[in-house]
Amino acid sequence: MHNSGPILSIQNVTKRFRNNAGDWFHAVNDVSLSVAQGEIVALVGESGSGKSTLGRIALGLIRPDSGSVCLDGRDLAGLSPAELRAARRRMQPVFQDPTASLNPRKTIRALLAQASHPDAIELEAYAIGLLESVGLTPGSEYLARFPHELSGGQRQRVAVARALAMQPALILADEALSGADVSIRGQILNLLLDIRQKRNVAYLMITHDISVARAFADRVAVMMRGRIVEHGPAGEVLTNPTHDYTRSLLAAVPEL
Amino acid sequence: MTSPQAKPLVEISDLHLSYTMQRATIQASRGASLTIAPGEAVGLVGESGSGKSTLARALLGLNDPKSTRIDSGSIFVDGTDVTRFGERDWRVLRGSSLSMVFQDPLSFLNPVMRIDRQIVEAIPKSMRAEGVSERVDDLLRLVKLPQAARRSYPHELSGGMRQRVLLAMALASKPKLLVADEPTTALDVTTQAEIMDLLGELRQRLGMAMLLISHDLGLVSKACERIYVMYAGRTVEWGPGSSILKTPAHPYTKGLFDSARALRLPNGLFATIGGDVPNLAHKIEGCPFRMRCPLAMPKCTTMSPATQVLGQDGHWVRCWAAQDSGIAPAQGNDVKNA
Repeated sequence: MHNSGPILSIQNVTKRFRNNAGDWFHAVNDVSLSVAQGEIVALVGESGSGKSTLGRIALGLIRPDSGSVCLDGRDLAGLSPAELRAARRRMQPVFQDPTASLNPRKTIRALLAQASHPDAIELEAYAIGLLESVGLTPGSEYLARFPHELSGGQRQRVAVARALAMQPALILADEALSGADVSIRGQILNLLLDIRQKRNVAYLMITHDISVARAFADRVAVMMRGRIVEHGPAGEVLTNPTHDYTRSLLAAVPEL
Repeated sequence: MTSPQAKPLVEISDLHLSYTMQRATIQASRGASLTIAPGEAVGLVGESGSGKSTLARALLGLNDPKSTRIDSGSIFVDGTDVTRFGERDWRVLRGSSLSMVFQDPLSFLNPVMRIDRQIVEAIPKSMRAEGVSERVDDLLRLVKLPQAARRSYPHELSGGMRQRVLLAMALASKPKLLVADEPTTALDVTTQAEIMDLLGELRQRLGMAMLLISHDLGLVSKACERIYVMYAGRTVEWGPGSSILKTPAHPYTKGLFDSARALRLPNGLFATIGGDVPNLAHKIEGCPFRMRCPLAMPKCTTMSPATQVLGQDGHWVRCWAAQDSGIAPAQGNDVKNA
């Protein structure tokens, strides 16, 4: 676990699906991508580019047709069901809409207890610690509340706290900030930076938000029709792109 | 196109509006003022919960009259006071002067009716006399939909094409004003750019005014000549887009634009506005932004800021701390500012 190799390494992964007409198409086509410890990698592209499928393959939720997904250097395909469960704990997703992903009938206490690492003891204190690490202080005041009693920004923070409950090495954020107001977006990005600094968590961020990818990520991969067409340091790729598709993507974004 | 002398097409003055929801009274407009000149493109921005959509719905007469009440202030459209309009009056106005497009075209289209019939239904009865079929052709051409789309059902079209259908329906009554509430939020950036280009072209060709409501400040800045910034139900700053962009005077506007740029401050943190929008069910004394404001002073707690004009170009602000020269750079907000 403490090697210097990548946490996540996706190699030559391909996944095909059948469309409504029964024809096969490549959702992900021979894609390789890695994420190092504490690194922020953004995956950008339009809907249908395959970025969310790739995210699900990374989480071990979809099995690729070919290629390999390695976590801490171990191929997910070779793991026993118990090992795969343990591996999945190391990678936690945060989704777009916290209102939809947090069970409205459960208190924050219950939501965090349910998501906690099996080794966590004294769950109440553990939950309070998690809440405070996402800026909800004092944490004890939030335990008995339900998601609908929180503001949008606070719900997003709870969603991040829940992802942290498993002590992951990697957080996969699939359009996690897409519905958020820009003010909330800034708050959550700062929170993610803070968590990275304290816990050395890596992020794989799937997003269509070019300005966030450019300012937040270390590296970026641009996906188009199942392939990565451009890949490199985020500032460079999203400022001076070399691929036509990246150029057209940038040209379409109204910059401030 | 925007001569300030021209008689405004829309004039909303100090509107106070409330609606009841689950026995709570939400004061969604608390001093909203907005004007739109004929042919002008005006943007309305603010966080969710700032009252943008309620204001737009008030302008279109779409708020439920059973639960919504205009407490004070007025709305004029094309010189007519519509503040006390009933449903029948609104229908006439929406069939002649006002049209709208919204975020999700699918929920406004009938899933079991072909596109051409839906467009025909959007043509006001008074205009159906001469060749309806030709009129549908014209509208399809106007929004650059292929003739083949005529016989399609909504689910057979892409998101961008559906938005074009909605636009064709909105244009069927030859409106003087199009209200577009987050029209491209559900679309990919390249499709968004196509729709925005189309909107700009149509406005020019038809001399139509537009009120564009969006949380995407880049989009609004590009498409609109003037911008209104709304916070807690009131318009807090407005003026020419270029002036708002270069010299925002309200700390809220500055925070909003810095956040939207995903600006990293010298300390490495992203620019943000701490805290949340206030609950509009509660009464707020003084300036509603003071709880989140880096420049708040004692006066802001007790007195609602007066409206002051900045410079010659019609740039206005409601803030005690605002100076003619704009305000100091944003302070980094602590990550714990929940």
